[in-house]
Amino acid sequence: MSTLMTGMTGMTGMTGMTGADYSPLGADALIRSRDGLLDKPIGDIEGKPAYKSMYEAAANWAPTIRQNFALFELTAGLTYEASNQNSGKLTFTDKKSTLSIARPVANKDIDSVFLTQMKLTDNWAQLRSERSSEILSQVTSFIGYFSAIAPLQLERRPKTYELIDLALTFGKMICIQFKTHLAVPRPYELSAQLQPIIPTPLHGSLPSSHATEAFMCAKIIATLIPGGHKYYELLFRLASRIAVNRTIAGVHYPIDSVAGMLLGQSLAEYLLNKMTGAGEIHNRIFDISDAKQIGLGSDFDFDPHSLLTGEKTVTDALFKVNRDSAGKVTMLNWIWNHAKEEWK
Amino acid sequence: MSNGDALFSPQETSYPVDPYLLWAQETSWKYVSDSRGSGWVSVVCRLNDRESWAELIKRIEAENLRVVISPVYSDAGFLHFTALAHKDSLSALTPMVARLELGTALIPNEEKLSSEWWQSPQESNKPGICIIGVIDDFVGHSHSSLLSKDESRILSIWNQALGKPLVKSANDFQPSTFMPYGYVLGGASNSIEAGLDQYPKYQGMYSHGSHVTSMLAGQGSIDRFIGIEQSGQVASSSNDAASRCPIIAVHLPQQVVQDTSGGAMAVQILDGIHFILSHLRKQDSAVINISYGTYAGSHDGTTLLETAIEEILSKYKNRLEIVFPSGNQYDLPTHAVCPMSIGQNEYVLNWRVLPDDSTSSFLELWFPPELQDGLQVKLTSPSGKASSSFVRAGGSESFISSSGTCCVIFPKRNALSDQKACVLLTIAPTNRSFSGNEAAEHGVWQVVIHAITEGQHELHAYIERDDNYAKPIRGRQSYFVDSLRVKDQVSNSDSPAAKGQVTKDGNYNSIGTANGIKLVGAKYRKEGVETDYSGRGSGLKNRSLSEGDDSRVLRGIRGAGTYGVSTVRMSGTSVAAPRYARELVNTIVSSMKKDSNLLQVAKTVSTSHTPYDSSVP
Repeated sequence: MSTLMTGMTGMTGMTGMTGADYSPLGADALIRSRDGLLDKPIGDIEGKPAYKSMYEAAANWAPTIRQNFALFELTAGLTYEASNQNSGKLTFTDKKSTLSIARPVANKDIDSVFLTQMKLTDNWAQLRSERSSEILSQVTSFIGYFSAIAPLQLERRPKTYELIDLALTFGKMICIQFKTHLAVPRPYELSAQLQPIIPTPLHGSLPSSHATEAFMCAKIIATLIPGGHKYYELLFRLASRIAVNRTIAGVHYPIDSVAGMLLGQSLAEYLLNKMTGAGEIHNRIFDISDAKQIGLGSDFDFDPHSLLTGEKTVTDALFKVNRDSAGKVTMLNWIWNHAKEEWK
Repeated sequence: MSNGDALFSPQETSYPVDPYLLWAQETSWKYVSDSRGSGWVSVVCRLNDRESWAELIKRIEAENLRVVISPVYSDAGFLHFTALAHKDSLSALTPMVARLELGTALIPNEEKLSSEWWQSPQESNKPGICIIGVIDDFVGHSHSSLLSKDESRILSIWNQALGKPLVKSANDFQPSTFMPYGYVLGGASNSIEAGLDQYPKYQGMYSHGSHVTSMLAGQGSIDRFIGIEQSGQVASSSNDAASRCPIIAVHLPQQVVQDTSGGAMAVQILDGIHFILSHLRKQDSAVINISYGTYAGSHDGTTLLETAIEEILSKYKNRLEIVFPSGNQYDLPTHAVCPMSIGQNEYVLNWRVLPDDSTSSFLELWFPPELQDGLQVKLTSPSGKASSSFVRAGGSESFISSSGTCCVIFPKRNALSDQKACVLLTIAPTNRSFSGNEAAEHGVWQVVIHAITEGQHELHAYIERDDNYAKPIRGRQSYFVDSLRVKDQVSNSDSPAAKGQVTKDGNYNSIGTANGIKLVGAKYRKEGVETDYSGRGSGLKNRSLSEGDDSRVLRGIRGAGTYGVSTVRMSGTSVAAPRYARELVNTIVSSMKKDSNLLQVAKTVSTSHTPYDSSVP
């Protein structure tokens, strides 16, 4: 019965002819339709094949194809080095900058570090009832929250959407490198008392991918849209809140948010640099033995505002992007320039 | 760490000192709400005696002290009074003042205060009326349940929070000339209506004050309301005397009810009561409902607000009723009792402070003065990295946890009670979302109490209220963690199996234990039994009950929203108190000489107030 019913819904595949439709019924319908329409064999082709440049042709490509191409360009400028079991290092080869994340090392302090993190996570759980709607709605996407601050209007800005989607995909890809390498156990593995309110993702805890992507988003949006730097503090606070919500949910420790924030900022700087040719990529190190330098309170809770203070010293130069940087055209330039055009 | 510029000292013995004042001083006033760096705060005081008024006024003028006192207090010669004062001038008041308590930070208006406003309303031959007073947040003055023949029954509104009226309605609001803050909207109903645009944020919403007022004085039959349940009457009787009485409303500032809800509202409530009473002639009566309360406090009937209300009640004997709710905190683990036996005693209280708390958290320890000399208290942060030493009587200590300043304050003589001694423990806000926040650790803080005593005593620990009545906006409620506490759902009492210190008994509004104040708990309308949450205590006398919920399933009682014919459900002793107050109004009116138009009489009376002259027909 279910197969039949599914087949019946396949009739809607007729409307799918504007795009890819792989249903047997749709294919059969096209065979019959063509048979009824053809009146002569193909005698000639319409015009001679004209090759466009790769980037001119890119305008006609599907966004997912452009994204795949751009991801290659992005990763081509990176190396990931698992220097040892405890530390991973990302090197931005063009700029010789690095970001490294070290997991709490197995020495006399490791128990107290995770005990402290678990206690903090447990206390953040007190806010579950008031944050649950945010937590649930941010499981798969949080871009709507950014759009509420900076009017992205993505329905009429498809290239801006493409740019943000690329950034988030890139962020997730790099984050997984660290997560897989460092393999830090999730909070639920250390205590059955915590009981997360959403399913814990099946990968390591450090760093937080939500934090990585949210902080990337904040920086890219503030850079892309006209006058965006005016929103930056609010966007930054939103990114912090999205990160903290994952701790409240019970799937991340506060230190995961800190590492994610640092990674997100470095990746955003790198992406913007590759797209525009402007801006620095700062060296960053996440090591809990140097808490104050990385936005970690003395109690090892996530303390993002300390880093925001530093961000305020970033001049507007970062936000004044040279749109002519497309002189050396890459797919990344192409996406940036087209997204930027949408804001004129 | 100690503040070198300290004006008040915990070691002071010649006069009692408010521990909150010491806390503000110790933390350089940075956590006192919304002071905007002005240095102006509100205070409530009790004079040594009535003769001290002359000296006080003389000293303010001679030394050019930055102290503003309303003529209502100085002219009428009350012992209790409020003032707006610059913090640097506070210590100059102490020779004339027996007790002084810190209120909310407020900057005085520039208007010159006038004694005229406070002159008694013109006497008339018209019979006495009963005026209903509401001190609350926004009262939806154009709601249909508060209208009489399509004109508002609200004679006037004192908005204590309004900094400056919006331009559109500027003429409808008169700057207060009777108290040094706020604006008054009043007189003719068209002014009341015109004032609506001052409250844009309440449009389409509900408000605590609107619901409370409808419980107290709402009118209109049930079929005027849309989409309500069978049981959803706005009031028990919609055509009773209370539904025809004139209303005077006082809107409390939001920071008073939000930042440690109710913990610092004595000034605004006392001023509000006097504002309402200023409309009374000798033959008039009043019932005033104040649906707010605090968790912490001495619970001995001697807070300054309570003794001030007692003074007022004695002046308006048999003409005034003041009603408070008993609070909704009975179930909350915000109260602990530590029995002290002869010899050495040690208790450890675990105090959970929540993250994302934008307001300070307070814990008060209350005990008989005999225990004071043998008592010492220590506060330690969740990580154990920050703590005070053991603080004894006459000591105060502040320390940094993460980046927030936390304190243990133990004055030798405290100004919060006439009978009990007190230690105040404070934790800075824990919210780090905003740059520049000096935030403390969140988690389980530890309070260690050592006591050596020669007699049997009890020490009561009360955590102050830190949330908002409707939803968390700034504060987050901290509480005690006691693994030994067993919550007995069946009897709703403290389980005999519980060996811990955290107890429900004694969890009630600390305002309302004084003689004469009517304290009201909530019951389920369907069962007629007291609700689980309704504040109570074995030592509490003279408490009444009224409906706070329809049933355990259908929570709340339907009452007015803010506009039109909107209705909402609200639950709690805040609902029960005005329902009880309504009965008081009906009883008072039934004993008066009948008058068919209470509202018209009231409007005639109100013309005596200068600000309203031009707007009354």
